[in-house]
Amino acid sequence: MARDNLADGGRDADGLLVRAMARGESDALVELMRRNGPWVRGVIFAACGNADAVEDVQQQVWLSAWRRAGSLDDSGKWRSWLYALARHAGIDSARRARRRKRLRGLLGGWVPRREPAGTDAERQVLIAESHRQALDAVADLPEIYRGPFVLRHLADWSYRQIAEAMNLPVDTVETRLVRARRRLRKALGPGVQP
Amino acid sequence: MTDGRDIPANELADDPWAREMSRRLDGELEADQEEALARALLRDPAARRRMEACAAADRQAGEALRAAFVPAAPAETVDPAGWQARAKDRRWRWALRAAAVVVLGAAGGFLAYERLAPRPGPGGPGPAAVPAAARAEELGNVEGLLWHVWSPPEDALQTNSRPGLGEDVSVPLPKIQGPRRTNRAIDRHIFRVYDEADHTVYLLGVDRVRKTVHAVGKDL
Repeated sequence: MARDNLADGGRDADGLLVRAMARGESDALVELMRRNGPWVRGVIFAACGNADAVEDVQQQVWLSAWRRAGSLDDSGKWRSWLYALARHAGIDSARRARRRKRLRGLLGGWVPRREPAGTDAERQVLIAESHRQALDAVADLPEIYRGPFVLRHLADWSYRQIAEAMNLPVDTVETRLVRARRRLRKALGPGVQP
Repeated sequence: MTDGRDIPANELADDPWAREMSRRLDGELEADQEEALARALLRDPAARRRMEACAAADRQAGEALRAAFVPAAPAETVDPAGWQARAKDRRWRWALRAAAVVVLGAAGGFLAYERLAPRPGPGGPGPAAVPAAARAEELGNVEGLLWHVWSPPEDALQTNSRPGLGEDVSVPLPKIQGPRRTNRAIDRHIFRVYDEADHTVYLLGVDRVRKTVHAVGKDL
């Protein structure tokens, strides 16, 4: 399929970057981050369900990738390797967040919250609200549905490539996407922007 | 939050076109499937509404994800196909740099040698017989520094048989008997080679020595 071919070209290039990173070329790491940062952030979000934690966690992911690149035997499998790094970091982050939440409960429920950045344009406020609503809906999806969904939107991979990264059958990926969309349609239903 | 495994198997029973709709949004439908879905949507207004709502929700969620996780101003793009070539270029650049240093060093050595080698006149070796390294230190410049690195054997400085400089370099001079005066003129050309890649300037110096011998006291 054309999408597969295009993405395979990108994958070869990313494989080269991973090999260069394993040789210690920091420029390769920067380029790899630029090319794959969005979907890595998406996978972290899918794993932890908290958009606020993503930026911090992704730094751990790239640091870990930099340190472990030399141990990746087959650079052709960089996709599933990076996916696993991002997912595990996201899961660890969610676990830490749950511990913090329990601790806050013990402390009386006072939780400092980060206020959203204010904008003076009404339109931007509406857009931000729409995005927040959608992100909340995605965060409420079961993790097994969030993963394929964010990869479809942020990595633009085919079903086959998502299946390869997640180590799942292609049909399972497709089914999870169908169910994710069905749930999102119900969650966002009346508020869906035309 | 559920783990998603509690979803009934017949969840999609009321939405027979859900799979095709999802595949369409992902661009994974074949042409004949696309046509079948289009026909179904034309026949079934409820399915059409579901498709529109599904597409709108998908678009909204996709925009939210991109707004949250894709940088607003992407960094300068780099052609990934050129990555390997660039790595090779870097190696070549180092080789060129090393070659330039060798050439510069050899030229510097040549210059220092040509300038400092003794030329015995009729009255003996003259002031040029001062040890070359000492002269080089007096110079206090790049040439002097290079002299230490590329200095020829000491005995070569004391004679006219200079290794690396064959006799063919010297132009035969007219033999003048009696008192004579030797004039030497040195034209120095400095070439600057600028490496744009790392903003380095390499200097390459070449001297051309002209020597004339005049009889002293005779009207030529």
